Amino acid sequence: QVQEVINPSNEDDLLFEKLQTVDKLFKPVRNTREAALDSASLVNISELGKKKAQALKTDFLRFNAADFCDKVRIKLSNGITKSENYGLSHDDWVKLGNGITPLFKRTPVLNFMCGAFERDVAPKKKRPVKEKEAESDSSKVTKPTQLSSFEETERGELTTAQVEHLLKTLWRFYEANKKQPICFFEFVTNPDSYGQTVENIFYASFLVRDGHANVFLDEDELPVIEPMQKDLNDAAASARQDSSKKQQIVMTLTPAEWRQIVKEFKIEVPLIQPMKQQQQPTVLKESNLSNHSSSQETNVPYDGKGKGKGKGKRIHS
Amino acid sequence: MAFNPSQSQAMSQSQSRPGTEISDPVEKEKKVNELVQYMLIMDQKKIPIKKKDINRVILKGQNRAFSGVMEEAASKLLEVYGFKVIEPQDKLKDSYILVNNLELNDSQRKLIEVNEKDKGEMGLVFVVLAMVFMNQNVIHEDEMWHALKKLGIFQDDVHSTFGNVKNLIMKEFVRKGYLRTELNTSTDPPTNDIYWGQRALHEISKADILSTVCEITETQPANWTFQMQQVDQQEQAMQTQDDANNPAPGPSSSR
Repeated sequence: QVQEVINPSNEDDLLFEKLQTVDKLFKPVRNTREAALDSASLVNISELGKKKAQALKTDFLRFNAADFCDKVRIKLSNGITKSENYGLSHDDWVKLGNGITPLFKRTPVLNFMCGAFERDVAPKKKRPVKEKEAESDSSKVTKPTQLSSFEETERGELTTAQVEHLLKTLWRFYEANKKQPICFFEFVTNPDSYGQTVENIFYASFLVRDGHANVFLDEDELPVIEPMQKDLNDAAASARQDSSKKQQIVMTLTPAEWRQIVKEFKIEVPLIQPMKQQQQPTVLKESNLSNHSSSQETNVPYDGKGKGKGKGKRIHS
Repeated sequence: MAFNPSQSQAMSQSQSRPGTEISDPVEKEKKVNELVQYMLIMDQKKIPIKKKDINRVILKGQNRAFSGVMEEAASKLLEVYGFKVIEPQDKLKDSYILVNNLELNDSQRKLIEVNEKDKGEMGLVFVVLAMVFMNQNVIHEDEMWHALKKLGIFQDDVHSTFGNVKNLIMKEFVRKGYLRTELNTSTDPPTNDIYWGQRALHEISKADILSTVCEITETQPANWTFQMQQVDQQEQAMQTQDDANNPAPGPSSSR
């Protein structure tokens, strides 16, 4: 529409008409806003008027951009009037470029004769591959260590792991029990398995032997167990340990006695979770942890003092 | 003869500031050569090479030695490659472009490879520059797009050869220095007015544009009074520059 207005050859004097309309509108103007709009449209009209005047020019020839482009097209198609709608083809543009490039003082660009070398692609490929290899390597590495430890262990190292586990459990319950010694039987007994109970006692004896735990009789003459902080610097502690070491007891536990203990102490859930399945020496730390966490969840919270409970149960039986 | 509008300075003319040279001649030579290589490679994009990039990449802290190093690099580029280093003014200040200083004949030109994409783009550059000049040094954006339709270019379409033409003309060509745009706020919404860029002023003469346009439109240059005035002005400016550069009387060269 703008083009129509500017084109001087256009018969209808659109610009003048618009000017007249604006002039008429100006009369009833009262507010500033309207006056601003008015002046904006006047500016617009005068701009267009200027363009129109320019287009008129005193030149013998008038330049019209659209006409020029049309002529470019015609020139490139060698006078063969193609349909106007197609414009220039890719080849036409190249042809035009060829013709006018000599006119430009454009510097030729530097290109490498053999092209650029590729840098980043290779390392990226290597990295994921390396990572995968590294992963598989480490997993392979862990497997041998697992297997080797299995072979080495047999019973030796396996026992150590179990003992570790027991000690950790003991500490946990000790803390939960407000650092009061725990009833021995409640600690070691596994209501589901006699064998496991015996094993627990076995491991507990190791703890005592090494000074990690202390078993003694409480006021009610019931055995209780408490974990010991093995501190070599503390003379008193080591003295105590020495004295406790000097005592040896032999404990027997028949299946019948076990059942009785389960009944009387009302032990429902084993305090010490067996590590994975029995007789399967899996030394994976992860499973230990999961056992710990599961035991934390499933275990009945150890409340009350060991002695009290035991006593209470005794009475009831 | 190379065309040298008075507004820009060819680097070979500038004076280096005293006391800021690189003392070790071997190192200076090395930096100069690095700068030459750097500029040749950066020229691939045809985007003006920024002074701050040169400082960062080549000089690395010895920024004060810039003018000395640039002066020597420019003279190497001129003598070895036939390239003139130009520092544009205004918006493009503190950047440098390379302009071909050699006049080649047809058979020589054939040796220089220009890829098709660049050829096509130069064709478009030519059309736009021609329109701006013939329209008396400025054209309104809308008018330009209106005209380009005749060549199958539409500002909102993706062109088969040029892709995003609007971006190409309004951003790329401006970036390279072929065009310059100014925002015109008198329209609603504001549009751009398009002028010749500084690279265009160095790379092509108005006389050449006029003669080519006349070839295309089958008219005579003499009939375009305003444009002829422009051509004359330019040639006079060129003449003055030449006289300033070459004090000895020499044959005047006009196209």
